[in-house]
Amino acid sequence: MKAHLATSLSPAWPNIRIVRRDVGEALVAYDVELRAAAMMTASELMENAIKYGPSAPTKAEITFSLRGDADQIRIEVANQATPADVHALKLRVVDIAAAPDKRTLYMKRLTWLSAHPAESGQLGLCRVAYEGRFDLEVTHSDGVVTVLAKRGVP
Amino acid sequence: MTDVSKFERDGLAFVITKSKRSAVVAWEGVSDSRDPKAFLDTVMQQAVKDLTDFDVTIDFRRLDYMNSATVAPLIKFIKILDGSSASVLVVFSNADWQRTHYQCVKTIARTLKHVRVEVKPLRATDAPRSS
Repeated sequence: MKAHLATSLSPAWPNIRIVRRDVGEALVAYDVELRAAAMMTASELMENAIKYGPSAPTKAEITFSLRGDADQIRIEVANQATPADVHALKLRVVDIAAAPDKRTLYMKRLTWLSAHPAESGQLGLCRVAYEGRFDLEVTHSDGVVTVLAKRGVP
Repeated sequence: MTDVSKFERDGLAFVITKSKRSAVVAWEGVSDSRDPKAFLDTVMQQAVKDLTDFDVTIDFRRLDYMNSATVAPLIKFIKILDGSSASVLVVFSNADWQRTHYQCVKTIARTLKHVRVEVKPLRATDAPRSS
């Protein structure tokens, strides 16, 4: 089994649906649950890149890549980001990685959001870790932040 | 006699089917807009107005995908119907991603008065997708 997808996209919301579809097509040979989890993960990471990336669309492309083999699926999304956004994202990912029980973390955030209906955000990465069962890493170089999500193939 | 109304935006549809004192609110399609709250609030207001004291079933089985921004408004939707309806049954399919949300809603439903949560596979005899 092998899957490969690499593309650059403008930070436009309709591109999320395109990426989700393309990931689904690229992973058609994989287990149906893993494929759905990867589609969700790609979608959530793209949403974050658009929401928290630079507001001006010019020169602010998002780089998306998917690599799959018999052992692992890796999804990478890179976008320009401010140091403050990178810092916040790293803290979030460290918190998620350190949580021994991803479900508890997800439920805590969901319970808080449902008690504060005017608030939003910060559920997507928890969902990737809990529902998608992907491990997350963040790297940062020259104003570009890259989020890597990876999961083993059963 | 049944009364059917449909609300649709950006690939997400709500089909509300009423008969006597019971109703089904079926979510269909994909909820991946940037701000699903706005549309959901509109539908919710209508549902609360029309379905007070009804036995309501919220059926997610034809929801193909939702983003994380949909999850909190979805919980709010259930909570508000819990406050206005005679009873609320929430139904998920047996797809893996829906089972995850079934578990979460089931946990939250413990704090609600009239909500039951179930997993029911879609069968060939179930009503077809509204479109």
